[in-house]
Amino acid sequence: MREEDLLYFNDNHLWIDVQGDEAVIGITDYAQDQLGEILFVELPEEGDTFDEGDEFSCVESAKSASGLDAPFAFEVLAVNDLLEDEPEAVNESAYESWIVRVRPEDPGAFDSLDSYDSYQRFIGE
Amino acid sequence: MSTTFVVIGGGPAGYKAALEAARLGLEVTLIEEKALGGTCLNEGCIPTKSLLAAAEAKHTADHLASFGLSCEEQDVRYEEVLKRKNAVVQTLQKGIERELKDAGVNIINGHGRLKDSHTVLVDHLDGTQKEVHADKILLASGSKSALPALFSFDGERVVDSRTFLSQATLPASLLIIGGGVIGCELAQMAARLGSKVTVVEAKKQILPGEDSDTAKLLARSLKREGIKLLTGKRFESVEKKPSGIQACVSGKTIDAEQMLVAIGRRPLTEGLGLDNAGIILSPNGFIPVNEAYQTNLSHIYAAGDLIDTPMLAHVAENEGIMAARHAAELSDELSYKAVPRIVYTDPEIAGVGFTERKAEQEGRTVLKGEVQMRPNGRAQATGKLEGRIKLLFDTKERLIGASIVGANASEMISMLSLAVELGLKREELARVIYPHPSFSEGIRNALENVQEQ
Repeated sequence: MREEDLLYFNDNHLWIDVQGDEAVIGITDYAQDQLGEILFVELPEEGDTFDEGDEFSCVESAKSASGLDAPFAFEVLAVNDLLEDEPEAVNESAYESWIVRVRPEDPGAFDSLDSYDSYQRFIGE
Repeated sequence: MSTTFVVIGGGPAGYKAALEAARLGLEVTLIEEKALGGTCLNEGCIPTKSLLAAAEAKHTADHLASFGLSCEEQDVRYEEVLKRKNAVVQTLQKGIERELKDAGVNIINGHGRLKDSHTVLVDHLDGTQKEVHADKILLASGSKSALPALFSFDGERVVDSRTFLSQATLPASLLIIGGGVIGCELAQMAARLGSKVTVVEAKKQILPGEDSDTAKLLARSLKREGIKLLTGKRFESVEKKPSGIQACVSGKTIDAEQMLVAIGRRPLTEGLGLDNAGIILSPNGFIPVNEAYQTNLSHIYAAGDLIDTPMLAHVAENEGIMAARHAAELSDELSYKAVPRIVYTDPEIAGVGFTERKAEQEGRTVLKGEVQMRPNGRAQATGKLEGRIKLLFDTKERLIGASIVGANASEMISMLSLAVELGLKREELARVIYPHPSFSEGIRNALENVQEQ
């Protein structure tokens, strides 16, 4: 189980689990709650590279389609194929349902991310 | 004797001007070298939309299962697709010809150029020449694709949109340089009809003139259809190979059977004889005109892609009409406040007035109302879920801009163009009854959540 307060966040409602020089990325529990029942998670391909701000995935619910922008430039090392068949897993456990595992282009990329506490303040909880 | 008005160019600016001038009692001659209707009808908008319609039909056939239907896989017979496109173009050409003849316009087939400020020389295709005297002249020769030498155009493996739209087959793989309107439309058309498509755009986003959120929505749909988008990447060079081309883009090589260059268009002023009459050109290649579309010679007008206004058929048409009215001694002025901008992809992109970026550049405070298309009943029923409506208001809640992504955006934008042109307020737009179910209900929903940015 991922400990929420050990993760990094950004104000686009992504959580980032830093593991050495790699990171695992998903959407926050707050984000899944706002989206409602998730029907589709679009996954990039292994080896794809994205610049900061590029859309690397899209999460669609009945009421909304939300693009996920890369919080920093990265290369995709792996994608969570399970979400293809079970996108609702994101609703059930947002912090276990990772979307991509990546390697940032710049090892210092994590420095500008937010802590759990500051993300909680950002969403007003 | 009535005033003689000679129009050089039978595209949207020229033929609308000819019709208007004839209606107002001028003696009108229209000179067109190729086919009536210009680039728009023959080599641009209409051919593209015809081919996109075929591409959409194919796309629907490929996704019949989502409607609970099944059918064997549909083959693409591109020669039949082209035949249909050509038939559409011909029908519209004949319509224009009929309209002009009914209005009493004298149509001359040939290349028109100025011999002096009151004489137009026509070179007929058979080598004969004819001189036409003109009291007043409208220059409306339009534009052509920009063809910088860097791209090594050969009309076969490296082509512009004009060649691409008329060639007999589609390449198995296609590299498109330029992610603007033309690049995006042709990318989707080719991809849906079977090509493997890569689009290279030097700017950070496709559709550089639109807001980044608009471009992202289209990028998402294009990528989902298997189109590779390389934004922020620069075309460097191209080499011809036996099997096609190999291009170098930001240091990486890309192989494709064909390369299509769609990086913009340039005014077509060569061969117009501008020097013979003493018409001035601006350094950027356009013909400078005043608000009545008069050049530096007051009896010679210019309109459409020759002048430095948006290169759009509907802009050209209105400019031609205004020039004709001025030539007939009527005064009128064209407003550019609410020019609709359309990209005929699926989802369609339509915009009018301010974008958020432009408002920000001008330091304007805007209020924004935005909704996604997805919860809309019509969107769900038709399966056209992609898209959103974004409305921008000034601080007095007058609509100053709108952007629609989604099915029927090109039709819905007219109502918002009207609102921008008239400066309608949010409450006025909210008082209208919107049909249910319809995509346009999204406009009402967007009006309900307008917030300051």
